[in-house]
Amino acid sequence: MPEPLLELREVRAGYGPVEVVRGISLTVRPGEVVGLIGPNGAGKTTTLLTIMGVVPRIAGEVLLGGRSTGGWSPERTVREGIALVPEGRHIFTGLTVQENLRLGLAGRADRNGLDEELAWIHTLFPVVDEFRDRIAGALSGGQQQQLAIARALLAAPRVLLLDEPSLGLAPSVIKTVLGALSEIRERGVAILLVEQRAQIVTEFADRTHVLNNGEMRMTLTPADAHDTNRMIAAYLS
Amino acid sequence: MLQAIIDSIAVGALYALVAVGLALVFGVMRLINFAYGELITAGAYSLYVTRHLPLVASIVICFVVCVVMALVIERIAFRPLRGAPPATTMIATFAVAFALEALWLIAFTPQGQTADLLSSLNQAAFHIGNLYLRWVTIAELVAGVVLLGGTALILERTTIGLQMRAAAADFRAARLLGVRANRVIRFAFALSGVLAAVVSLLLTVQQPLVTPTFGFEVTILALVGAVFGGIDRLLTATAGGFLIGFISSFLGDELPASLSSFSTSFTFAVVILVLLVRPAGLLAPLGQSSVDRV
Repeated sequence: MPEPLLELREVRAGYGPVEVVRGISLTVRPGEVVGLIGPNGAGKTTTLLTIMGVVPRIAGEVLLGGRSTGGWSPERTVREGIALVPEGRHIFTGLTVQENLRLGLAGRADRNGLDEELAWIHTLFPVVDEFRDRIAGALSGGQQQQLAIARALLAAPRVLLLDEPSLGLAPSVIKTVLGALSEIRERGVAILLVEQRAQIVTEFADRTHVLNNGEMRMTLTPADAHDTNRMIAAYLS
Repeated sequence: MLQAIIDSIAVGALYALVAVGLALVFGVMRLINFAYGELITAGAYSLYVTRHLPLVASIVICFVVCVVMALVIERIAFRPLRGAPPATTMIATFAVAFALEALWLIAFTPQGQTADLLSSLNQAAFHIGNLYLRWVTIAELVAGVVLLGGTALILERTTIGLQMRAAAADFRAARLLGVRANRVIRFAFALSGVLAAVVSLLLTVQQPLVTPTFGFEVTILALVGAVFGGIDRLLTATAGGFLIGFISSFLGDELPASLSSFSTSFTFAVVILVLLVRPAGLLAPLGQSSVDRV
Protein backbone atom coordinates (compact mmCIF):
# COMPACT_ATOMS: atom_id res chain seq x y z
CA MET A 1 0.00 0.00 0.00
CA PRO A 2 1.46 3.42 -0.96
CA GLU A 3 2.34 5.94 1.69
CA PRO A 4 -0.34 8.55 2.43
CA LEU A 5 -0.05 11.76 0.43
CA LEU A 6 -2.18 13.68 2.88
CA GLU A 7 -2.29 12.89 6.55
CA LEU A 8 -4.06 14.64 9.40
CA ARG A 9 -2.93 13.71 12.90
CA GLU A 10 -5.18 14.73 15.78
CA VAL A 11 -5.80 18.12 14.19
CA ARG A 12 -7.55 20.73 16.28
CA ALA A 13 -8.48 24.05 14.72
CA GLY A 14 -10.94 26.88 15.00
CA TYR A 15 -11.66 30.56 14.98
CA GLY A 16 -10.28 32.46 17.95
CA PRO A 17 -11.36 30.71 21.14
CA VAL A 18 -13.94 28.57 19.31
CA GLU A 19 -12.59 25.10 18.52
CA VAL A 20 -14.44 23.78 15.48
CA VAL A 21 -12.26 20.78 14.56
CA ARG A 22 -11.50 18.55 17.53
CA GLY A 23 -8.82 15.99 17.00
CA ILE A 24 -9.40 14.75 13.47
CA SER A 25 -7.08 12.12 12.01
CA LEU A 26 -7.31 10.77 8.47
CA THR A 27 -5.15 9.70 5.55
CA VAL A 28 -5.57 9.94 1.78
CA ARG A 29 -3.30 7.89 -0.49
CA PRO A 30 -2.50 8.52 -4.16
CA GLY A 31 -5.54 7.66 -6.30
CA GLU A 32 -7.83 7.38 -3.30
CA VAL A 33 -11.08 9.24 -2.74
CA VAL A 34 -11.91 9.87 0.89
CA GLY A 35 -15.27 11.38 1.78
CA LEU A 36 -16.15 13.66 4.66
CA ILE A 37 -19.82 13.96 5.50
CA GLY A 38 -21.79 15.38 8.37
CA PRO A 39 -24.48 17.90 9.22
CA ASN A 40 -24.05 21.65 8.90
CA GLY A 41 -21.52 22.97 11.39
CA ALA A 42 -19.82 19.59 11.77
CA GLY A 43 -16.43 21.10 10.85
CA LYS A 44 -16.05 19.78 7.30
CA THR A 45 -15.22 23.08 5.61
CA THR A 46 -13.03 24.15 8.53
CA THR A 47 -11.05 20.91 8.14
CA LEU A 48 -10.37 21.76 4.49
CA LEU A 49 -9.47 25.36 5.32
CA THR A 50 -7.11 24.14 8.02
CA ILE A 51 -5.36 21.89 5.52
CA MET A 52 -5.03 24.90 3.20
CA GLY A 53 -3.50 27.05 5.95
CA VAL A 54 -6.39 29.50 6.06
CA VAL A 55 -7.66 28.49 9.49
CA PRO A 56 -4.88 28.22 12.09
CA ARG A 57 -4.21 24.87 13.73
CA ILE A 58 -4.46 24.80 17.49
CA ALA A 59 -2.84 21.37 17.78
CA GLY A 60 -1.98 18.31 15.73
CA GLU A 61 -0.26 18.04 12.41
CA VAL A 62 -1.05 18.12 8.70
CA LEU A 63 1.44 16.22 6.53
CA LEU A 64 1.82 16.36 2.77
CA GLY A 65 3.95 13.51 1.47
CA GLY A 66 5.34 13.10 4.98
CA ARG A 67 6.28 16.80 5.35
CA SER A 68 4.56 19.00 7.89
CA THR A 69 2.64 21.90 6.38
CA GLY A 70 3.01 23.92 9.58
CA GLY A 71 3.57 27.60 8.87
CA TRP A 72 2.68 27.35 5.20
CA SER A 73 0.59 30.17 3.75
CA PRO A 74 -2.39 29.21 1.55
CA GLU A 75 -0.43 30.12 -1.59
CA ARG A 76 2.52 27.99 -0.53
CA THR A 77 0.20 25.10 0.26
CA VAL A 78 -1.12 25.28 -3.32
CA ARG A 79 2.39 25.39 -4.75
CA GLU A 80 3.39 22.39 -2.70
CA GLY A 81 0.58 20.37 -4.27
CA ILE A 82 -2.76 20.80 -2.50
CA ALA A 83 -5.57 22.48 -4.43
CA LEU A 84 -9.01 23.39 -3.13
CA VAL A 85 -12.27 23.70 -5.02
CA PRO A 86 -14.10 25.83 -2.49
CA GLU A 87 -17.74 25.73 -1.52
CA GLY A 88 -19.68 28.09 -3.76
CA ARG A 89 -16.94 27.67 -6.41
CA HIS A 90 -15.58 31.21 -5.97
CA ILE A 91 -15.35 31.75 -9.67
CA PHE A 92 -14.30 35.27 -10.62
CA THR A 93 -17.53 36.17 -12.32
CA GLY A 94 -16.21 39.39 -13.87
CA LEU A 95 -13.35 37.58 -15.62
CA THR A 96 -13.55 35.35 -18.67
CA VAL A 97 -13.39 31.56 -18.46
CA GLN A 98 -9.88 31.69 -19.93
CA GLU A 99 -8.74 34.27 -17.36
CA ASN A 100 -10.14 32.13 -14.54
CA LEU A 101 -8.14 29.21 -15.89
CA ARG A 102 -4.98 31.31 -16.14
CA LEU A 103 -5.34 32.13 -12.45
CA GLY A 104 -5.08 28.41 -11.76
CA LEU A 105 -1.52 28.57 -13.08
CA ALA A 106 -0.56 30.81 -10.15
CA GLY A 107 -0.34 27.75 -7.94
CA ARG A 108 1.64 25.65 -10.38
CA ALA A 109 5.24 25.03 -9.43
CA ASP A 110 6.46 24.78 -13.05
CA ARG A 111 5.18 24.64 -16.61
CA ASN A 112 6.30 21.08 -17.32
CA GLY A 113 3.59 19.09 -19.09
CA LEU A 114 1.22 22.04 -19.16
CA ASP A 115 0.04 21.62 -22.77
CA GLU A 116 -0.73 17.96 -22.26
CA GLU A 117 -2.60 18.63 -19.04
CA LEU A 118 -4.56 21.45 -20.60
CA ALA A 119 -5.63 19.13 -23.42
CA TRP A 120 -6.67 16.54 -20.84
CA ILE A 121 -8.63 19.15 -18.86
CA HIS A 122 -10.40 20.21 -22.06
CA THR A 123 -11.48 16.62 -22.72
CA LEU A 124 -12.56 16.30 -19.11
CA PHE A 125 -14.58 19.51 -19.18
CA PRO A 126 -15.25 20.53 -22.79
CA VAL A 127 -17.29 23.56 -21.64
CA VAL A 128 -14.19 25.38 -20.41
CA ASP A 129 -12.75 25.24 -23.91
CA GLU A 130 -16.03 25.87 -25.68
CA PHE A 131 -16.83 28.99 -23.61
CA ARG A 132 -13.26 30.17 -23.08
CA ASP A 133 -13.98 33.79 -24.08
CA ARG A 134 -17.29 34.01 -22.21
CA ILE A 135 -17.57 35.95 -18.95
CA ALA A 136 -17.55 33.30 -16.21
CA GLY A 137 -20.54 34.90 -14.49
CA ALA A 138 -22.63 33.99 -17.53
CA LEU A 139 -22.03 30.25 -17.07
CA SER A 140 -24.60 27.99 -15.43
CA GLY A 141 -23.91 26.60 -11.94
CA GLY A 142 -22.80 23.26 -13.35
CA GLN A 143 -20.48 24.90 -15.86
CA GLN A 144 -19.00 27.08 -13.12
CA GLN A 145 -18.36 23.99 -11.02
CA GLN A 146 -16.55 22.36 -13.91
CA LEU A 147 -14.53 25.54 -14.39
CA ALA A 148 -13.64 25.58 -10.68
CA ILE A 149 -12.34 22.00 -10.83
CA ALA A 150 -10.51 22.64 -14.11
CA ARG A 151 -8.88 25.71 -12.60
CA ALA A 152 -7.75 23.76 -9.55
CA LEU A 153 -6.29 21.03 -11.80
CA LEU A 154 -4.12 23.56 -13.61
CA ALA A 155 -2.09 23.88 -10.42
CA ALA A 156 -1.10 20.21 -11.01
CA PRO A 157 -2.13 19.17 -7.50
CA ARG A 158 -1.15 15.91 -5.86
CA VAL A 159 -4.06 16.33 -3.47
CA LEU A 160 -7.42 17.77 -4.52
CA LEU A 161 -9.86 19.00 -1.89
CA LEU A 162 -13.45 19.58 -2.93
CA ASP A 163 -16.01 21.32 -0.77
CA GLU A 164 -19.56 20.38 -1.68
CA PRO A 165 -19.07 20.17 -5.44
CA SER A 166 -22.63 18.90 -5.96
CA LEU A 167 -24.26 21.84 -4.19
CA GLY A 168 -27.10 23.22 -6.27
CA LEU A 169 -26.37 21.00 -9.27
CA ALA A 170 -28.79 18.89 -11.28
CA PRO A 171 -28.32 15.08 -11.01
CA SER A 172 -27.01 14.88 -14.58
CA VAL A 173 -24.33 17.47 -13.82
CA ILE A 174 -23.38 15.69 -10.59
CA LYS A 175 -22.85 12.56 -12.69
CA THR A 176 -20.52 14.51 -15.01
CA VAL A 177 -18.56 15.89 -12.05
CA LEU A 178 -18.20 12.46 -10.43
CA GLY A 179 -17.15 10.99 -13.77
CA ALA A 180 -14.41 13.61 -13.98
CA LEU A 181 -13.32 12.90 -10.42
CA SER A 182 -12.97 9.22 -11.32
CA GLU A 183 -10.60 10.13 -14.13
CA ILE A 184 -8.66 12.49 -11.88
CA ARG A 185 -8.15 9.78 -9.25
CA GLU A 186 -6.94 7.40 -11.96
CA ARG A 187 -4.07 9.83 -12.53
CA GLY A 188 -2.96 9.25 -8.96
CA VAL A 189 -4.40 12.40 -7.45
CA ALA A 190 -5.56 11.96 -3.86
CA ILE A 191 -9.06 13.38 -3.37
CA LEU A 192 -10.69 14.54 -0.17
CA LEU A 193 -14.36 15.13 -0.89
CA VAL A 194 -16.65 17.03 1.46
CA GLU A 195 -20.32 16.53 0.73
CA GLN A 196 -23.79 16.91 2.17
CA ARG A 197 -25.19 14.17 -0.09
CA ALA A 198 -24.17 11.27 2.08
CA GLN A 199 -25.30 8.42 -0.11
CA ILE A 200 -23.60 9.68 -3.25
CA VAL A 201 -20.25 10.26 -1.59
CA THR A 202 -20.33 7.05 0.45
CA GLU A 203 -20.91 5.08 -2.72
CA PHE A 204 -18.24 6.95 -4.65
CA ALA A 205 -15.42 7.23 -2.11
CA ASP A 206 -13.10 4.46 -0.94
CA ARG A 207 -14.15 5.30 2.61
CA THR A 208 -16.15 8.10 4.13
CA HIS A 209 -15.66 9.64 7.53
CA VAL A 210 -18.65 11.00 9.39
CA LEU A 211 -18.02 14.24 11.25
CA ASN A 212 -20.20 15.70 13.94
CA ASN A 213 -19.46 18.56 16.26
CA GLY A 214 -15.87 18.65 15.02
CA GLU A 215 -15.16 15.01 15.82
CA MET A 216 -14.89 11.92 13.67
CA ARG A 217 -17.77 9.64 14.67
CA MET A 218 -17.58 6.70 12.27
CA THR A 219 -16.21 5.53 8.95
CA LEU A 220 -18.37 4.15 6.16
CA THR A 221 -17.48 2.01 3.16
CA PRO A 222 -19.21 1.92 -0.24
CA ALA A 223 -21.10 -1.14 0.97
CA ASP A 224 -22.82 1.04 3.58
CA ALA A 225 -24.26 3.40 0.96
CA HIS A 226 -27.43 1.37 0.53
CA ASP A 227 -27.75 0.35 4.15
CA THR A 228 -30.40 2.84 5.21
CA ASN A 229 -30.08 2.07 8.91
CA ARG A 230 -26.33 2.59 8.85
CA MET A 231 -26.68 5.89 6.96
CA ILE A 232 -29.29 7.15 9.41
CA ALA A 233 -27.07 6.07 12.30
CA ALA A 234 -24.16 7.92 10.71
CA TYR A 235 -26.09 11.18 10.61
CA LEU A 236 -27.58 10.79 14.06
CA SER A 237 -24.28 9.68 15.58
CA MET B 1 -15.17 79.46 -20.63
CA LEU B 2 -13.21 77.29 -23.11
CA GLN B 3 -9.97 78.19 -21.32
CA ALA B 4 -11.51 77.10 -18.01
CA ILE B 5 -12.70 73.83 -19.55
CA ILE B 6 -9.26 72.98 -20.95
CA ASP B 7 -7.49 73.86 -17.70
CA SER B 8 -10.07 71.90 -15.71
CA ILE B 9 -9.64 68.82 -17.89
CA ALA B 10 -5.91 68.90 -17.12
CA VAL B 11 -6.55 69.27 -13.38
CA GLY B 12 -9.10 66.46 -13.62
CA ALA B 13 -6.44 64.21 -15.19
CA LEU B 14 -4.14 64.93 -12.23
CA TYR B 15 -6.83 64.04 -9.70
CA ALA B 16 -7.67 60.93 -11.70
CA LEU B 17 -4.06 59.78 -11.26
CA VAL B 18 -4.32 60.25 -7.50
CA ALA B 19 -7.65 58.41 -7.47
CA VAL B 20 -6.10 55.49 -9.35
CA GLY B 21 -3.24 55.34 -6.86
CA LEU B 22 -5.77 55.11 -4.03
CA ALA B 23 -8.05 52.66 -5.85
CA LEU B 24 -5.19 50.28 -6.72
CA VAL B 25 -4.38 49.79 -3.05
CA PHE B 26 -8.03 49.75 -2.03
CA GLY B 27 -8.68 47.05 -4.61
CA VAL B 28 -6.23 44.54 -3.20
CA MET B 29 -6.33 45.47 0.49
CA ARG B 30 -9.72 47.13 1.02
CA LEU B 31 -7.65 49.86 2.62
CA ILE B 32 -8.14 53.61 2.19
CA ASN B 33 -4.57 54.82 2.33
CA PHE B 34 -4.73 58.27 3.88
CA ALA B 35 -0.93 58.29 3.89
CA TYR B 36 -0.94 58.46 0.10
CA GLY B 37 -0.68 62.25 0.20
CA GLU B 38 2.60 61.90 2.08
CA LEU B 39 4.09 60.06 -0.88
CA ILE B 40 3.24 63.05 -3.04
CA THR B 41 4.75 65.37 -0.42
CA ALA B 42 7.87 63.19 -0.19
CA GLY B 43 8.27 63.32 -3.96
CA ALA B 44 7.91 67.09 -3.92
CA TYR B 45 10.48 67.49 -1.12
CA SER B 46 12.88 65.21 -2.98
CA LEU B 47 12.58 67.59 -5.94
CA TYR B 48 13.44 70.45 -3.61
CA VAL B 49 16.40 68.63 -2.02
CA THR B 50 17.83 67.56 -5.38
CA ARG B 51 17.19 70.89 -7.11
CA HIS B 52 20.91 71.41 -7.76
CA LEU B 53 21.29 68.07 -9.54
CA PRO B 54 20.66 67.62 -13.24
CA LEU B 55 16.93 67.58 -13.98
CA VAL B 56 16.84 63.94 -15.08
CA ALA B 57 18.62 62.81 -11.90
CA SER B 58 16.21 64.83 -9.82
CA ILE B 59 13.20 63.25 -11.53
CA VAL B 60 14.61 59.73 -11.20
CA ILE B 61 15.26 60.29 -7.48
CA CYS B 62 11.69 61.56 -7.09
CA PHE B 63 10.38 58.29 -8.56
CA VAL B 64 12.72 56.19 -6.40
CA VAL B 65 11.70 58.06 -3.23
CA CYS B 66 7.96 57.64 -3.90
CA VAL B 67 8.16 53.96 -4.83
CA VAL B 68 10.53 53.00 -2.00
CA MET B 69 8.48 54.94 0.52
CA ALA B 70 5.28 53.25 -0.67
CA LEU B 71 6.91 49.82 -0.28
CA VAL B 72 8.38 50.64 3.12
CA ILE B 73 5.04 51.92 4.44
CA GLU B 74 3.36 48.74 3.24
CA ARG B 75 6.00 46.53 4.82
CA ILE B 76 6.31 48.29 8.16
CA ALA B 77 2.86 49.69 8.82
CA PHE B 78 0.27 47.77 6.86
CA ARG B 79 1.53 44.21 6.45
CA PRO B 80 1.60 43.49 10.19
CA LEU B 81 -2.01 44.66 10.36
CA ARG B 82 -3.25 42.53 7.50
CA GLY B 83 -6.40 40.77 8.62
CA ALA B 84 -7.06 43.36 11.33
CA PRO B 85 -10.47 45.09 11.39
CA PRO B 86 -10.84 47.82 8.73
CA ALA B 87 -11.08 50.54 11.39
CA THR B 88 -7.66 49.52 12.76
CA THR B 89 -5.94 49.68 9.39
CA MET B 90 -7.63 52.96 8.54
CA ILE B 91 -6.40 54.49 11.79
CA ALA B 92 -2.94 53.12 10.98
CA THR B 93 -2.97 55.01 7.68
CA PHE B 94 -3.83 58.21 9.57
CA ALA B 95 -1.02 57.48 12.03
CA VAL B 96 1.48 57.03 9.20
CA ALA B 97 0.24 60.22 7.54
CA PHE B 98 0.59 62.29 10.72
CA ALA B 99 3.96 60.75 11.59
CA LEU B 100 5.33 61.62 8.16
CA GLU B 101 3.82 65.10 8.31
CA ALA B 102 5.62 65.62 11.61
CA LEU B 103 8.79 64.38 9.98
CA TRP B 104 8.42 66.94 7.16
CA LEU B 105 7.87 69.67 9.78
CA ILE B 106 11.06 68.75 11.61
CA ALA B 107 13.13 68.33 8.47
CA PHE B 108 11.83 71.20 6.35
CA THR B 109 10.06 73.59 8.83
CA PRO B 110 6.49 74.79 8.33
CA GLN B 111 7.69 77.37 5.81
CA GLY B 112 7.31 76.36 2.23
CA GLN B 113 10.36 75.23 0.24
CA THR B 114 10.51 76.01 -3.43
CA ALA B 115 10.74 73.14 -5.89
CA ASP B 116 10.56 74.92 -9.23
CA LEU B 117 12.62 72.58 -11.39
CA LEU B 118 9.93 72.34 -14.01
CA SER B 119 8.60 75.89 -13.76
CA SER B 120 9.30 76.40 -17.47
CA LEU B 121 6.28 74.18 -18.11
CA ASN B 122 4.12 77.08 -16.95
CA GLN B 123 4.91 78.93 -20.15
CA ALA B 124 2.38 78.96 -22.93
CA ALA B 125 2.95 76.29 -25.54
CA PHE B 126 0.74 78.16 -27.99
CA HIS B 127 -2.30 80.35 -28.04
CA ILE B 128 -5.22 80.90 -30.34
CA GLY B 129 -6.72 84.30 -29.73
CA ASN B 130 -7.33 84.54 -25.99
CA LEU B 131 -6.99 80.79 -25.54
CA TYR B 132 -3.67 79.80 -23.92
CA LEU B 133 -2.42 76.28 -23.65
CA ARG B 134 0.46 75.88 -21.19
CA TRP B 135 3.01 73.10 -21.37
CA VAL B 136 1.94 71.84 -17.97
CA THR B 137 -1.63 71.45 -19.23
CA ILE B 138 -0.36 69.35 -22.11
CA ALA B 139 1.89 67.39 -19.73
CA GLU B 140 -1.02 66.69 -17.38
CA LEU B 141 -3.23 65.52 -20.23
CA VAL B 142 -0.50 63.34 -21.73
CA ALA B 143 0.49 61.92 -18.33
CA GLY B 144 -3.15 61.21 -17.55
CA VAL B 145 -3.79 59.40 -20.82
CA VAL B 146 -0.47 57.49 -20.87
CA LEU B 147 -0.48 56.44 -17.22
CA LEU B 148 -4.14 55.57 -17.02
CA GLY B 149 -3.87 53.67 -20.28
CA GLY B 150 -0.66 52.01 -19.09
CA THR B 151 -2.27 50.98 -15.82
CA ALA B 152 -5.26 49.58 -17.69
CA LEU B 153 -2.92 47.66 -20.00
CA ILE B 154 -1.00 46.20 -17.06
CA LEU B 155 -4.22 45.11 -15.43
CA GLU B 156 -5.71 43.67 -18.62
CA ARG B 157 -2.72 42.13 -20.36
CA THR B 158 -0.25 40.93 -17.75
CA THR B 159 -0.33 38.03 -15.33
CA ILE B 160 0.28 40.26 -12.32
CA GLY B 161 -2.55 42.51 -13.55
CA LEU B 162 -4.89 39.54 -13.82
CA GLN B 163 -3.91 38.47 -10.32
CA MET B 164 -4.55 42.00 -9.05
CA ARG B 165 -8.01 41.98 -10.60
CA ALA B 166 -8.73 38.60 -9.04
CA ALA B 167 -7.40 39.74 -5.66
CA ALA B 168 -9.55 42.86 -5.87
CA ALA B 169 -12.64 40.73 -6.50
CA ASP B 170 -11.99 38.06 -3.84
CA PHE B 171 -8.64 38.14 -2.11
CA ARG B 172 -9.00 34.87 -0.22
CA ALA B 173 -10.15 32.96 -3.28
CA ALA B 174 -7.14 34.34 -5.19
CA ARG B 175 -4.74 33.20 -2.46
CA LEU B 176 -6.35 29.76 -2.48
CA LEU B 177 -5.40 29.52 -6.14
CA GLY B 178 -1.79 30.23 -5.32
CA VAL B 179 -1.76 33.96 -6.04
CA ARG B 180 0.99 35.39 -3.85
CA ALA B 181 -0.62 37.99 -1.64
CA ASN B 182 2.59 39.81 -0.78
CA ARG B 183 3.65 40.07 -4.41
CA VAL B 184 0.31 41.45 -5.58
CA ILE B 185 0.10 43.96 -2.73
CA ARG B 186 3.71 45.07 -3.20
CA PHE B 187 3.06 45.61 -6.88
CA ALA B 188 -0.08 47.68 -6.14
CA PHE B 189 1.88 49.86 -3.71
CA ALA B 190 4.80 50.26 -6.13
CA LEU B 191 2.44 51.27 -8.93
CA SER B 192 0.71 53.75 -6.65
CA GLY B 193 4.17 55.12 -5.80
CA VAL B 194 4.92 55.69 -9.48
CA LEU B 195 1.65 57.56 -9.88
CA ALA B 196 2.42 59.64 -6.76
CA ALA B 197 5.79 60.61 -8.24
CA VAL B 198 4.15 61.83 -11.45
CA VAL B 199 1.61 63.81 -9.42
CA SER B 200 4.49 65.32 -7.39
CA LEU B 201 6.24 66.43 -10.54
CA LEU B 202 3.17 68.00 -12.11
CA LEU B 203 1.85 69.52 -8.91
CA THR B 204 5.12 71.31 -8.18
CA VAL B 205 4.78 73.02 -11.53
CA GLN B 206 1.46 74.51 -10.46
CA GLN B 207 2.38 74.98 -6.79
CA PRO B 208 6.18 75.18 -6.45
CA LEU B 209 5.93 75.99 -2.74
CA VAL B 210 6.14 72.65 -0.93
CA THR B 211 4.75 72.54 2.61
CA PRO B 212 4.26 69.57 4.97
CA THR B 213 0.59 69.34 3.85
CA PHE B 214 1.43 69.62 0.15
CA GLY B 215 -0.09 66.29 -0.90
CA PHE B 216 -2.87 66.13 1.65
CA GLU B 217 -5.52 68.31 0.03
CA VAL B 218 -5.21 66.79 -3.41
CA THR B 219 -5.41 63.31 -1.85
CA ILE B 220 -8.52 64.06 0.20
CA LEU B 221 -10.25 65.62 -2.78
CA ALA B 222 -9.24 62.72 -5.05
CA LEU B 223 -10.41 60.25 -2.41
CA VAL B 224 -13.77 61.99 -2.29
CA GLY B 225 -13.80 61.75 -6.07
CA ALA B 226 -12.96 58.05 -6.02
CA VAL B 227 -15.75 57.35 -3.54
CA PHE B 228 -18.03 59.64 -5.55
CA GLY B 229 -17.38 57.53 -8.65
CA GLY B 230 -17.06 54.14 -6.93
CA ILE B 231 -13.70 53.28 -5.36
CA ASP B 232 -14.03 49.52 -5.75
CA ARG B 233 -13.67 49.75 -9.51
CA LEU B 234 -10.65 51.32 -11.10
CA LEU B 235 -12.61 52.82 -13.97
CA THR B 236 -15.28 54.42 -11.79
CA ALA B 237 -12.68 55.63 -9.26
CA THR B 238 -10.70 57.21 -12.11
CA ALA B 239 -13.79 58.86 -13.54
CA GLY B 240 -14.79 60.08 -10.08
CA GLY B 241 -11.33 61.52 -9.46
CA PHE B 242 -11.40 63.23 -12.82
CA LEU B 243 -14.87 64.66 -12.25
CA ILE B 244 -14.02 66.04 -8.82
CA GLY B 245 -10.84 67.66 -10.13
CA PHE B 246 -12.69 69.07 -13.11
CA ILE B 247 -15.63 70.43 -11.09
CA SER B 248 -13.36 71.90 -8.42
CA SER B 249 -11.12 73.62 -10.95
CA PHE B 250 -13.98 74.78 -13.15
CA LEU B 251 -15.89 76.30 -10.25
CA GLY B 252 -12.71 77.97 -9.03
CA ASP B 253 -12.27 79.56 -12.47
CA GLU B 254 -15.83 80.41 -13.32
CA LEU B 255 -17.48 81.41 -10.06
CA PRO B 256 -17.59 85.14 -9.33
CA ALA B 257 -14.67 86.37 -7.23
CA SER B 258 -16.90 86.70 -4.17
CA LEU B 259 -17.84 83.00 -4.39
CA SER B 260 -14.72 81.36 -5.82
CA SER B 261 -13.24 80.76 -2.36
CA PHE B 262 -16.26 78.51 -1.74
CA SER B 263 -15.58 76.35 -4.79
CA THR B 264 -14.53 73.38 -2.62
CA SER B 265 -17.71 73.78 -0.56
CA PHE B 266 -19.80 73.75 -3.73
CA THR B 267 -17.91 70.65 -4.92
CA PHE B 268 -18.60 68.80 -1.68
CA ALA B 269 -22.25 69.89 -1.79
CA VAL B 270 -22.54 68.21 -5.20
CA VAL B 271 -20.84 65.08 -3.81
CA ILE B 272 -23.19 64.91 -0.80
CA LEU B 273 -26.24 65.30 -3.00
CA VAL B 274 -25.08 62.58 -5.38
CA LEU B 275 -24.18 60.14 -2.58
CA LEU B 276 -27.59 60.71 -0.97
CA VAL B 277 -29.20 59.50 -4.18
CA ARG B 278 -26.53 56.95 -5.19
CA PRO B 279 -24.76 55.77 -2.01
CA ALA B 280 -22.71 53.19 -3.93
CA GLY B 281 -21.25 55.94 -6.11
CA LEU B 282 -22.42 57.91 -9.10
CA LEU B 283 -20.96 55.49 -11.62
CA ALA B 284 -21.48 52.22 -9.72
CA PRO B 285 -23.81 49.69 -11.37
CA LEU B 286 -27.47 50.18 -10.56
CA GLY B 287 -28.58 48.21 -7.54
CA GLN B 288 -25.10 47.85 -6.03
CA SER B 289 -25.18 47.91 -2.25
CA SER B 290 -23.29 50.52 -0.29
CA VAL B 291 -22.26 47.82 2.19
CA ASP B 292 -18.48 47.53 2.61
CA ARG B 293 -17.99 50.95 1.13
CA VAL B 294 -16.39 53.82 2.96
